[in-house]
Amino acid sequence: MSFLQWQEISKSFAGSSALSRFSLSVAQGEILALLGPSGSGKSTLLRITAGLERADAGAVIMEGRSLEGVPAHRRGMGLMFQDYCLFPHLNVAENIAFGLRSQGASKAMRTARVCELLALVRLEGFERRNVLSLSGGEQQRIALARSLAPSPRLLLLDEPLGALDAALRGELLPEMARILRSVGITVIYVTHDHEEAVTIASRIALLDRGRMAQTGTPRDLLRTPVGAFSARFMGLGALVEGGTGPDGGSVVTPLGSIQLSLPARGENTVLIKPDAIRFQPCPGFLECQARILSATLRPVGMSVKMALLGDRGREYPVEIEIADPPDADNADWTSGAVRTVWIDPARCLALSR
Amino acid sequence: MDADRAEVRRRYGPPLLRFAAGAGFAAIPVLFLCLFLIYPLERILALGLGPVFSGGFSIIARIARETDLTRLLLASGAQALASTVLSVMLGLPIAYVFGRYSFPGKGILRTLLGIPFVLPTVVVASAFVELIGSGGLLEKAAALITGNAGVQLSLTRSIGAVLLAHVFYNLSVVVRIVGGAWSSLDPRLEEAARTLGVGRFAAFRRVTLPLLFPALFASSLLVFAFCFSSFGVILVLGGPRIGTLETEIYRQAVSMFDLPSAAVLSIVQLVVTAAVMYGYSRVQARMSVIQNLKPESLTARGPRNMGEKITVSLFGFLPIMGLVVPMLALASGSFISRGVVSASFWKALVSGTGHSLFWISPLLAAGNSFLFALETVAFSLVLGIPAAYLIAWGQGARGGFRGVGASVLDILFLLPLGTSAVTLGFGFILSMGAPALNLRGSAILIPIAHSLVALPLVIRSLLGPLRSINPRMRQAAAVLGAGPTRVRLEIDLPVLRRAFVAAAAFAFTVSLGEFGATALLTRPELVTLPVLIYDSLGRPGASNQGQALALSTILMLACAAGLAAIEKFRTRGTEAF
Repeated sequence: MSFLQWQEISKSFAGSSALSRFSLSVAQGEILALLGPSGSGKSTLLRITAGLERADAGAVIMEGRSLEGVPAHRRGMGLMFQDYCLFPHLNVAENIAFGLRSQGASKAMRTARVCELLALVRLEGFERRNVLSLSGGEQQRIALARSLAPSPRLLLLDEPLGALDAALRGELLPEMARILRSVGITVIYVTHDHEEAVTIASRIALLDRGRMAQTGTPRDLLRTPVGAFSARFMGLGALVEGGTGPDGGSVVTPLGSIQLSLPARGENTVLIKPDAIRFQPCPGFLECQARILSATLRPVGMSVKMALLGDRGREYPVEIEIADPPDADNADWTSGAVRTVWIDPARCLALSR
Repeated sequence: MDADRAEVRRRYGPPLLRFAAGAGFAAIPVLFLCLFLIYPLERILALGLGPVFSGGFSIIARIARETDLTRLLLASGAQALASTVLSVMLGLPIAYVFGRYSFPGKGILRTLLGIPFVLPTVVVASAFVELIGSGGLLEKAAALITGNAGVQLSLTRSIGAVLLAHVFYNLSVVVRIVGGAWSSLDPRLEEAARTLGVGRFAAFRRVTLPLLFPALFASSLLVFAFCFSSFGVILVLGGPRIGTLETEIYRQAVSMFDLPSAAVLSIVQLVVTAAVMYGYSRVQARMSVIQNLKPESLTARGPRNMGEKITVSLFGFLPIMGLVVPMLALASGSFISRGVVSASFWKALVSGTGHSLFWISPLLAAGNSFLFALETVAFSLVLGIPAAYLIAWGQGARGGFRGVGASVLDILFLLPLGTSAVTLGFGFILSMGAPALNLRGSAILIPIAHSLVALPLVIRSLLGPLRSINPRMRQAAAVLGAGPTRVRLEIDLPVLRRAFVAAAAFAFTVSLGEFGATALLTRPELVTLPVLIYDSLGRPGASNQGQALALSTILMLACAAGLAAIEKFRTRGTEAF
C-alpha cells in the first residue's frame, strides 16, 4: 500500500489553473522530487499536502486515510520553507523545540532532542545563538532540524536550497542527502533544479503547467525522456523539430533526414544527445554544420557550447564534453568558427512534442 | 589641495564666516526652544520646587493634600489605563483585518479611520454631546422607540462618555501602529508554526503575538500618554465630578489663580508623561529591529471563504462605520433646529449678534483661528526645516560630536510631545510676564504655543524624506559641477517639496484644533474656534448648542481636508509616529 497518494488534485487561482487532476503515489521511505519550472504547480501541491491550501477537487490520502478537513497542525508533517521562516523572537534551541512543546514533551526530553538534532545537522553548541546572527547555510540546517524535531511521518521541503548561492548549494546538497537518508523519512522535495533532483531523489515527478509530464527514477528521466518538455527541462541535448518521413523509419528535420533505429510513430521532435555528435566523418551518420559558441579547456578534454545549423537559418544549441578533442590547439575551436559535425542516428531519440 | 581650499573660499567665503552661518542656521530652532519651552518649564520647576530649597517639603505636602494629588493621579491613571485597554482590545481585530487582508475600499476606510485622530478635542466632545448627551440623538431615538417623549437619557458627564471619546480618538493610533507591524510580518511564520503541530490560536499566541508585542506596547504607551494628558474631552464630557491632573492644573491656574499649586501639579504631570514618552521612544527603537519584514503586497490577500469575508466586514467595516456615526451626528445636528431641518444655526453664525454682553463673533474666532494657523505653519516650517536638516545631518555621523549633538536635538524637539498643552500654556503665563520678555497678552504667544505642539510632528514628517535622499545622488550632482546651493535646489527640493506641503498641513491642522494651551492664553479678542466652541457648549440654550455644532462641523471639515492633504503629500512609509 502506498504511503501517500494524491488523487486527481485540481486547484486554480483567480481563474488560472495551477494543478489539474494531478495523481501520484509515494511509497514509505521514498525521497520524491517534485520538479518543474516556476508556475508548474509544484509548490501549490506541497501547500495543499501540508494543509495550508485547500484543493478545489481531489483528495490527499495518507496511510489509507483522507486528509480532507484535517488542519495543518494535526497532519503530522514537517514543512521547510524556502527562506526557512525561523522565528526571529526565539533562539536556535527554542526554534527547534517549538514543535516539541506542543507535543507535550518534558523539558529534559526537549533538551535532549534539540541536542540530538543539532548533532545531526552538525551544529553542536548552537543552542543559545540568535537565529538572525546565523549564516544562510546555518539557518537552512536549523530550519531542517526544526522540521525534523517533532518526528514527522512525512517531510515536505520547498526549494530548501533555493535561497543559497550556487557554491553553498553544491556543498549543502550532499549534506542534506546524508541527513535525509540517515533519518529514513519519507520526503517530498520541491525544486526547479534538475541536478538537485537527480542528486537527492529516489524518484522524480516532473510537472508541466499543473500536469504530470513524466515520473520515474533519475535514470529514467535522464536516459528515456518521454517528451520534448522532459528532454528540454532535463537539459539532455539539442531538440530538433521535424516530420515523420514517408518510410516511417526516419524523421525529416531542418538538419536533414535522420534514420532512427526505432520506428517513429507520428512523433515529430528529435533529441540529439551530446554523445551523438562526432567531429570525424563516420559512415551512415548525418553530416551537418555547427557554429562554436564557446569552448573551454578542462583538465581532461574540453567543454563546448555550440549551435547546430539547420536550413533557413535555424539554430539548435547543445552543450557537449569532448574527452579527446581533435586538433585541440587549432583555431577551429574559437567562438564563431563553423565546422562540420557528424550525428550518430543511433543516439538520437524521437519524441512527441 | 590648496587649490580646492581656495576654490571653496572663493565660493563660500572665509571658514569663520561659514561656521557662523552654520551656527546661525542651528541656533534659530535651538534658541526658540530654549526661550519658549525650556524657560517656561524652568519657571514651573522654580515655582513648584522652590519651596524645597527654602522651606522644606511642608509646602509641597500641603499643596498635595489640598489638591488631593493622590486621588487626581489615580483618576488620571485609571481613566487613561481603561481607555488604553479598550482601544487596544477593539483595535487589535481591526489591525488584523487591515494588516492581513486586502479588500475593496480599504484605502477609504483607512482614511476614515484616521480622521478622528486629527479632530480637535472640542469637536469630538461636541459630537458626543450631540450623540449621547441630553437632547441628543440617542435620547431622541429612545423617545421614538418607547413612545415616551419625556425620556431622559444622557450618558455625558460620566466616565463612560470620556472612555468612549478616547477610544474614538485613539483607535487609529492602535490600528496604524499594530496593523503596520502586522502587515510587515511574514504570514508564513504562522504557517511554519502550524506545520510544526501547533493550532491556529496557539500559533497566534506563540508566534504572532510575541512578534507584535513591541508594536502593541508602543501603541499602548502612546495612547496612555494621550489619554493621561487629555483635556478638552474630559472638561466637556466628564462633567465636574471627573477631575484629572490636566483639568486641575487648568482650574488651579485659571479659576483659583493658585499658581504654586498649578506648578506642583504640572511637575507631576510632566514627570509622568515624560516617563511614558521615554518608554515609548525606547520601545519604538526596538520595533525596527524585527527582521525579515515583508511589503504589504506580499502579506495581504483578499478574503477567500465565507468565514474570512465575515471577519473582514465585521472588523474592517463595522467599527469604522461606528466612528463615522458621531461625525454624522455632529454634522446633521447643526442642521436640525427644534426638530425640523433648518439652516438657522448656520445663518446665525454670520448674522447673529447674540443676546449677551459676552457674545463673541464666530467670524472673529474663525479669522483668528485661520490667522494663527498660518502663523503656525510659517513658524514651524522656519524652525522645523533647519532642525530636521541638523538632526538628519548629525545622525549620518554616528557618534562623535555631530552624532551626540543630533541625538540631543532629536530629544529636545520631541520634548513638546511629552509636555501637555495645559502645562505649556501655564508655563507661558508664568514666564512671559517678565520685563525682559513681556509678551504676556501678545497675540503672538498663541501661534508660538501651537508651533511647539506641531514641531515634533513636523520634524518627524520631514526626517523620513530627508534621510531617503541618497547621499550618492548629491555626490553625483557635485561631481557634475553643481555647487551646494544648486544641489539643495535641484536634488533636495524636488524630493522634499511634497514633504514640506505635508508638514505645513500638519502644522495647520494642529493649530486649528489646539485647545489646551489656547484656553490658558486666550483673551476675548484672541478667541479661536475651539475656545468659542467650548464656550458655547457651556452656555445654556439651543442657539448656543447649535452654534457649537455648526462651528464644530466647520472645524471637522477643515481638519479632514488637512488630513487629506497630509495623506496626499506624505511620503509613503514614513510615519509621523
